[in-house]
Amino acid sequence: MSEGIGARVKRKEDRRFITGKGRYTDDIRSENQAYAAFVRSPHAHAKVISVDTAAAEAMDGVIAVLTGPDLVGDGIGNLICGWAVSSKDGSGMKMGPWSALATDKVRYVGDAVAVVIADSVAQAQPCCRGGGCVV
Amino acid sequence: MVKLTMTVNGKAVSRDVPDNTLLVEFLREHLRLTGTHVGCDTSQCGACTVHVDGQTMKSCTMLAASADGCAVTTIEGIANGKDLHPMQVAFNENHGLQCGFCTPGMIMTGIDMVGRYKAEGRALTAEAIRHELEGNICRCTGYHNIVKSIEDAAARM
Repeated sequence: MSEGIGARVKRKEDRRFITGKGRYTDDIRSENQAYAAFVRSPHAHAKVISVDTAAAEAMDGVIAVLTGPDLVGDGIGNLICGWAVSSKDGSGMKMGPWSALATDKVRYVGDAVAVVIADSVAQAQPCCRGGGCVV
Repeated sequence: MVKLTMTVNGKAVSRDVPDNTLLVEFLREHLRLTGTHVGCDTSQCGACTVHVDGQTMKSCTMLAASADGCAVTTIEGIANGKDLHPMQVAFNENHGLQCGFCTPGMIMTGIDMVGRYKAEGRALTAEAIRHELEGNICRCTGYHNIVKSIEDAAARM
C-alpha cells in the first residue's frame, strides 16, 4: 500500500542510529564530569537495616555516597508518574510513594540502595561491590 | 599503561591506555566512537558487538590489548562515505529499530551472519537468523522487523 491507512511510513530519525551517531546519555562527556554507580539489592524483598558508606567514601576519587535517607533529608521527593490521569470526579490519581533510592525496604533484586559519585567510572564502580550495605 | 596500535575503520590509531582497558572503552572513551554501546556490561546483550579481524566480538568482553595489531570495524565504519551499507538501508526500510540502542550490535551481527552463510553456501532462513541473534537483545521491537531487515539485507548483499 503506497498511501492512506496502512501505508508504510519510513522513519525519519533512523540515520543517526544506524550510523552510530546517536547521542545517548552515556555518550555525553563534559569537562569535570562526575560519574555515578549504583549499589543494588541482591534480595527480592528485604528490610534495609543499615548502609555503611564510610569505606566507599574513603576510596580514591569518590566525591559522595548517597542513600535513601539522604534524599529524604535533602527534601527530594519520590519518582513521579509520567502519565498521571484524573478520576471522573476530578480528584488526582493516587500514587504510592516510590523513592529513587530505597529508604527502609527493598522490593526487587536490583532495587537501588545507594549511589556512588566519583571522578571516573573506574573509581565509582568498585565501591558498589562488597560495600558495607546490610539488608 | 600499554601502548596499543590498531586499525579502526580503516584508520591507523595508536594510544597509551591502562592495561585493563576493555576494547569497548578504548573505542568509546579513547577514540570517542560512541556508536558502539554498553548495554549490560556482562556480554549478554550484544550492543557492543564489533568486528575484529572480520569476526564478531563483544567488545565489552575483550581487553583492548588483545586487539593490539588487529583491524577493528565499528558501526561508524561500515558505510561507504554517504552510501549506507545494505544492512543499514534494510534496517531503515523495514522499521528494524525503535530507540536504536541495540541497533549497532544488531547491524554488526547481521553483516557477519550474512557473510558467513553466503561464504558457506547455506540458506539464511528466518529461523536461522533468529538462532544467530541469540547473543543480541532488543527491548523495543520484538525482533520481528530485525529478522525482516536481515533477510532483506541478505538479498541486497
